Amino acid sequence: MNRPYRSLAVLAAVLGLLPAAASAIDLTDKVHLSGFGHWQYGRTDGNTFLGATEDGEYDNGDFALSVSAQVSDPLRIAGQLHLAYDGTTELDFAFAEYSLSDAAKLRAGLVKHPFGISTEVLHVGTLRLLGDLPQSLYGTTGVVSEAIKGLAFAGRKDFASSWALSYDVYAGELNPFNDGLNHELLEPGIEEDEEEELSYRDALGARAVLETPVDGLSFGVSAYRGVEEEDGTTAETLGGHVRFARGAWDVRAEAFGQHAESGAIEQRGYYLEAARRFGEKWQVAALAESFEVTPESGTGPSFAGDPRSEHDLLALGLNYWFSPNLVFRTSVREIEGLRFVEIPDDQEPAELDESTRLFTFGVDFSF
Amino acid sequence: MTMTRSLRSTPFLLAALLCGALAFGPAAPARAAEGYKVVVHPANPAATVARELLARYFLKKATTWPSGKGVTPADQSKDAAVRQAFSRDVLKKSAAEVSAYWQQQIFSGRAVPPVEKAGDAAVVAFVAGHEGAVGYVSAGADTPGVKVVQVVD
Repeated sequence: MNRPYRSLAVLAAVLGLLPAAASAIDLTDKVHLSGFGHWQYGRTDGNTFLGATEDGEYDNGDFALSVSAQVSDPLRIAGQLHLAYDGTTELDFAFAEYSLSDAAKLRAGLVKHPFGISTEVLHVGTLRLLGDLPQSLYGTTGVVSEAIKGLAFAGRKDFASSWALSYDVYAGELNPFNDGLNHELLEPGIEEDEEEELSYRDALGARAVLETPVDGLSFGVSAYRGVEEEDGTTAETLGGHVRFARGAWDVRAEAFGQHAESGAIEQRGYYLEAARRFGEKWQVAALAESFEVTPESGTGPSFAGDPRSEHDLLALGLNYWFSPNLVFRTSVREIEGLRFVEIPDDQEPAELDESTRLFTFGVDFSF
Repeated sequence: MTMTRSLRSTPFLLAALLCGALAFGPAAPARAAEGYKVVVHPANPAATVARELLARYFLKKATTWPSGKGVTPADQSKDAAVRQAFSRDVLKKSAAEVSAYWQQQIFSGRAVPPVEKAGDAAVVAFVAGHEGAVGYVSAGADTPGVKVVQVVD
């Protein structure tokens, strides 16, 4: 079976499961099973972006199963297995949680990385406003990780007048996504097979989210520091976010900055994303974002004008929600810059158009 | 890169204009009102429960009664009218908002939703059998073996 037909066969099989997948499953009162999946077709006007190509790409899908077991009153075990269309299987998280109180929960193992609004739910399409998360933070920026390998402390404290603070503190190893980080730009002459997986050892980080008396309005700050395993240099990352989610509206804005001694670079990204429902089924979403990477002040060659160091995007999407667990989406995006564009081995960046238009159609589901 | 320059100067303004354009249109329709009553185990000393605290129990943002006993909330089926009434009046959220909340909790590994029981009798039986349990049933439902508590603002 060739690739497009194989893709459609997989989609049909997955869709065939949906009527039985209307909600999460309580195997017993103590064991809970959930899952989610995603498929998306993408077509561009030239460049390859988010897996979409000029000819159109069907092979973009994934599926995950999540299980949680309440072993005893204070002890819970949770894990999530994630399968991508290319055959890769990953453990998104696997940890034990010991709850001392609502204000003090200790987690150990492979714990989701608490950074910003969406890092903990990177792959969950039914929690997104568009088919993909903003690349300015959640793309291959080398900032967010699937999980922290180590220890995490989490809690929540409620105050008078509906104020509440939730917090996370963590320590361990982070492996931020950095595929397609344009290593050639940062390290001229480097070959693709020399690129190392980014790993921050002895990472220490925290996130705090303040819920306000305005229902649905919250503010958060996230930060971490880690030591790059390869060369012992450090990286510090700071981010802030605001979210308003109530009724028909969901508005999210985030900004981050990172200083990485390795490569002597500074990265900045920010986005504003908003969606509004019209009735229970239809939803319109829009996104504006920007990202740039620059040399650390006073060091290294300037990247000014190099399209591999920049990314700006405007997107507009239309969603149809069959239920809170099933959404069909379509979107169009205008991208400037090559920061997150795949540069073919047989082409130089200068040969590529700095502008990309992307059309997507896809489906997200969960139970 | 004309768009790049314009984005750098006014990125949020552009998006704000887009968002503003979306503001015109009908909001989600209101649901019909349904009655419910909240039930707890007879050994629970509480006679009333604050609406906001009850919401935190069912969203698992709070997990202990004032007495120190652990809370075990029991929900009704997603399409039950009494659940929709409870969500609207106590959680102050639509079905879509509640679903999104639990997806965020589940897939980040933080928590799972309350157990779901099919119908008033199943909720009453569950609450009667678990000392820290709290559930809700239709206003006219029989409640043998459990205690009805008043929800206060």
